[in-house]
Amino acid sequence: MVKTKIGFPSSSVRQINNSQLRANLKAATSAIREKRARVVGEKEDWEELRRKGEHVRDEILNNLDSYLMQLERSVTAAGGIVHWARDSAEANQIILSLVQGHGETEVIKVKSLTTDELGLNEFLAQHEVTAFETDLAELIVQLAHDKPSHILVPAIHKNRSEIRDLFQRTIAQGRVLSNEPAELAETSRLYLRQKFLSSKIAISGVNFAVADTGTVCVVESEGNGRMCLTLPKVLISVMGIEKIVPGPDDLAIFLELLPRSSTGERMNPYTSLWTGVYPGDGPSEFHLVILDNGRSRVLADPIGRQALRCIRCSACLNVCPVYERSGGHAYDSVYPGPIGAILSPQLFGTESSLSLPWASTLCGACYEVCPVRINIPQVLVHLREKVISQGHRSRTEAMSFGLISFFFQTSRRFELLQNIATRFRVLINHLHVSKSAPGALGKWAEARELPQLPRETFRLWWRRNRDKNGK
Amino acid sequence: MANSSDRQPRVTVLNSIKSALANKSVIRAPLSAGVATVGAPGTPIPVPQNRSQDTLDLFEDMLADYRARVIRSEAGELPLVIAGLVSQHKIKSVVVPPGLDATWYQNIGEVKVVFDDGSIPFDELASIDAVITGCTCAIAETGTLVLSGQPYEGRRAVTLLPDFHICVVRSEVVMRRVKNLFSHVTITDPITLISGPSATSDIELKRVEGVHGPRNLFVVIVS
Repeated sequence: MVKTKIGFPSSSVRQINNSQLRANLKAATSAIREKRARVVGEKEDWEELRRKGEHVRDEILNNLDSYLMQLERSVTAAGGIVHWARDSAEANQIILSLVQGHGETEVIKVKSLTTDELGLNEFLAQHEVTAFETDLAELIVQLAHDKPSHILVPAIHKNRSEIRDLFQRTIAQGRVLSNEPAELAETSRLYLRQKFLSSKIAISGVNFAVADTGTVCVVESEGNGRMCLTLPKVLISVMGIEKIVPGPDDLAIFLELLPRSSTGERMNPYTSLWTGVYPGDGPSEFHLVILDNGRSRVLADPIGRQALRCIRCSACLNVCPVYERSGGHAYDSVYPGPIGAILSPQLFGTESSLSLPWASTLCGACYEVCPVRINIPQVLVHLREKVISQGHRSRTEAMSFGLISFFFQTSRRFELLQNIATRFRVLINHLHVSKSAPGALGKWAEARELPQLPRETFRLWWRRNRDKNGK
Repeated sequence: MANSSDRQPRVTVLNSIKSALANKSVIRAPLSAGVATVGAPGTPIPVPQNRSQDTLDLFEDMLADYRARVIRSEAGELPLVIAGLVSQHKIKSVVVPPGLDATWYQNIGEVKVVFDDGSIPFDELASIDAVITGCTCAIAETGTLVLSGQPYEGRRAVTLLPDFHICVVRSEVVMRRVKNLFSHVTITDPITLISGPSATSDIELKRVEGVHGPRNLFVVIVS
C-alpha cells in the first residue's frame, strides 16, 4: 500500500460511515447497471462495436498532433475560433477574457467535466462572473455548495427529500414543493427558463469533435444543452486534446456506444452537432478551447495512455464494488471511480491521488463494461508499480513481501515455514490476529480473518495417503 | 484574439504530444477521413439484430418506449391527424418553419399560425404552444428523429422553445441503424438528434419527462 497521509484510505472511511449515502448509491448503481445490461444485450454486435471504438480512439491517440491541427483548420474554416491552453490557468484566463471582452458578468453552463477539472466556476466567481449550471444535477450540487460525486449523475448521493428541502430553501420562489421528482424538475425548468432567454454567453464541454469537418458534438438529456448551444450569442466550448474522432462514420460508432453504456438508453434524448457558426441559426460567435492540462504527459506512458481513450460514460463507476460503497467524494477528484483511479494520478499527480491505484479490488468488472476496452486493472497495477518505484513505499509492506518471496522461492523453504507454523499452531490459533494487533498487522486484520491452522499440512497428508495407497 | 497574438501554448501542446508519441513504437498512419470503414482488428461478429421485425414497427416501438406519442397515417389523412392532435391538446398557437407544406396544417381551424422567418424573438417563441416540422431522416433502432436545419425543419430554436413538438416523418426516410446516419444527413448542417421528449433521471434515477425542451413529442409516420 502506498504511504500517504491523505487520500482514499482515510476519505473512503468517512464516506462509508454515511449510511444514507450508501443506500442512495446502492439503489442508483444497481438500477443503472440493470438498464445498461438490457440495452447492451439488444445489440448483438456489441463486442464488434467495442473493438471499433477502441481502434478509432487508438488511431486518434497515435496521431493526435496531426488530428488536432486538422481539427483546428476545419473549425476555423467553418467560422469558429480555436484557442490552445497548456493548463487550467491558461484555459480559465482565455474564457474569462472572452466573457469580459463582451462586457458580461453572467454565463450559463452545460454540464462539463472538463470545466470542473479547470475549477472554472470558482475562477470566474473570483473575477465577478457568475456561472449558472443548467443541468438539473449540477444545479442541485451548485445550490448545495457541494461537489459532484458521479460523472453522469453528479447528485447521485442525494435523495428526493434532500433535494426537495434544498429547492424549497433556494429556488422555489415561494411555492410549496412536494418531493415528487416531476415537480422538482418543473421547479428547475421555471427557474432556468429566464436565464436561457436572457443570457448572452454559454459555456459547454465537448463529447466529440470531428477532425475532418470541424463538427462538435454534445450529448444530453434535459434540453438545457440545446438551450445553451442555441440561444446565446456567444458559445465557448472546452475540450481535452483527446476528444477527437477522425470522421463522421467514426462519430456514429460512439453515438451507439455512449448512450447505452452511460444512461442505459438506446439513445439519449438530445444530441447536438454544429460546425462553426450558421447565419440566422444559433450563436454568431463560436470559440473552441483545446486543453492539454497533463494529457500529453499521460500520452507518453505506453500502458497508462489507454486512459485517454475514455469517452466519460461512467459505466465503470456503476459496476465497481468499491465505488458502490465509497461513493465519488472519496476519490477527491473530478474523475471518480475506476476511470478516475487511473486518470487522476496520471493527470494531476497530487499526493491524495497517488493512493487511488489501490482503490480497487482488481476484479475487472470495469474492463468488461468499458465501451472502448480500457484495461483498467492493467493500468492500476502499472500505476501501483510506478508510484512505489517513485519512493512512495511502505517499509513494513516491503519487508513482508521480502520475507514472503524468500520462503516461496523453493519448496524446501516453503515446507520449513509450514513445519514451524504447524509446530506452534496451538499458540498461533489462540492468538486471533485482530484489529487490536499493533501497527500494520492490525490494519491488515481489520478486513481479514486468518484461517485456523490445521493439524497437518496438505503436503504431509498427500505423502501419507499416496504411500498408503501404494502409488 | 488570444490565439493569434500568443502562439506559444499551441506550439508547446503540439510539441509535447509529438515527443510523447516519439518515444515508443507507435505506428504513425497518414490521416484518414475516417477509420470506421477500415474495420477493427480482431474477429468481427456480424450478427444482424432482429431482422425479422419490420423497420417501421421497430421505429414505432422504440419511440413509444421513450414516451413519444406515435401515429401512423396515410399521406391524404395527414391534415386531419394534425388537426386532431392540435384540438385534442387544446393547442392555441403553432409556429411553423418557412418551408413547411402548408396543406399539413390547413385543417387546424382558428388556431393562430406563426411563420418563423427567423426574426421572432426567443421569448415570443417560448410563448407559442406548439411547433410542427418535418424531419431529414429517422433511426428505427433507437427511435431517433434527425433534424438538420432544412426549410421544413427551421432553425434550432423553433423546435426547442414551444412545449409541443409535432414531427412528421415520411416512412421512406426511416433507416434502421445509427451506423448509416451520416450517409443520410450532411454532418456540417446544424443537427439535432431527438429521441423522445426531454427527460432527466437526475433525481434517484427516476425518469421524468419534460425538463427544458418540449415536454410533449408527437411523431406522425406518413406512408
